[in-house]
Amino acid sequence: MNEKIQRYVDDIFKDVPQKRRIAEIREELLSNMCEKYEDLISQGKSEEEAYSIVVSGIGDIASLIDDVVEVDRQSFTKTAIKNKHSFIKKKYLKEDDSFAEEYKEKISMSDKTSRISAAIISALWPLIVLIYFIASFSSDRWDVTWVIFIIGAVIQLAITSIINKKLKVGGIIWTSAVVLYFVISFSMNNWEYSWLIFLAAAAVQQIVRVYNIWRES
Amino acid sequence: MSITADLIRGHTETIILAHLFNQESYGYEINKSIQEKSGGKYELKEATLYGAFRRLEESGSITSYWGDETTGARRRYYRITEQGKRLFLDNRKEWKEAQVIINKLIQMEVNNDE
Repeated sequence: MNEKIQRYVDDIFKDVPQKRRIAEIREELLSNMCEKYEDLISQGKSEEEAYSIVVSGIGDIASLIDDVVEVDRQSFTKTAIKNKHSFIKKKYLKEDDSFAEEYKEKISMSDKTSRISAAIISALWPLIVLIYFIASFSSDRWDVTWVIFIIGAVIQLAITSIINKKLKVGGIIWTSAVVLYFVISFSMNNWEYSWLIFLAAAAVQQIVRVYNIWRES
Repeated sequence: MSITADLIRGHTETIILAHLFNQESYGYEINKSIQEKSGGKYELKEATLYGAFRRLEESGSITSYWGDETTGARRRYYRITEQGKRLFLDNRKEWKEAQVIINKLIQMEVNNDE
């Protein structure tokens, strides 16, 4: 087998994920190129001539490799198609990992985070109910203590936002509403009115939502 | 030449099926025969050839297997299926019909009134 051709083919496939189908194309290409080379030599061509004829006969092998990688990807996950262009570029810049491994890792990471947040949230609500009853019986302020559930909802929102690493506008509004609620309530001791802040927060959230819809359209 | 090459490229799969119709073969052998039959005027690029093999195999027109060459790299052999034979005969028929029509459409007197 010709070493120069071998090296040339190695170079073509250097940054391509080593899939079975890709490996097959590589072996087929190498075998055909070598046979063509031997043929040209036996027809009296010089080694340099034969090499350059063989190499110029390859054509657009990159597109073919792309097609094969693409089919593999489609059968792996449809979500990946959305990231098609950026992913192909990234893949060729990366030297080691194949696409599938990388993507599986991503999926398992998001699986993990959603499991964590589900666990926290399911532990959160029994705790809130417990706090509600303890607070209510001990203080006998049933008119106020129900607010604990709203606080619970805000905490849940905060947890999911933090875990998903994106703080949504809703999270900001509700968190500041709770903070504001306590600050105003304790400082002015007007618990019978201060809960209205939550209504205001709901109104602000709706306004933001409508504004976003209007801006998008 | 570019129009000729484009026209021929549009029939790559039919040309490969023609070569495989009566015998099994592999990439280089097929390409060599194309080159010889066209009098050295036409030759497929490797990428075009494997792309066509892949499509033909996916559509069930050909099957492939690795040879057991003991020296050098293995060859990948291709074999036509019954479906592939039908596809070839259909394609050839269509090409002949198109040929007749195109000939009629472009056959006329060329007047050079200058």
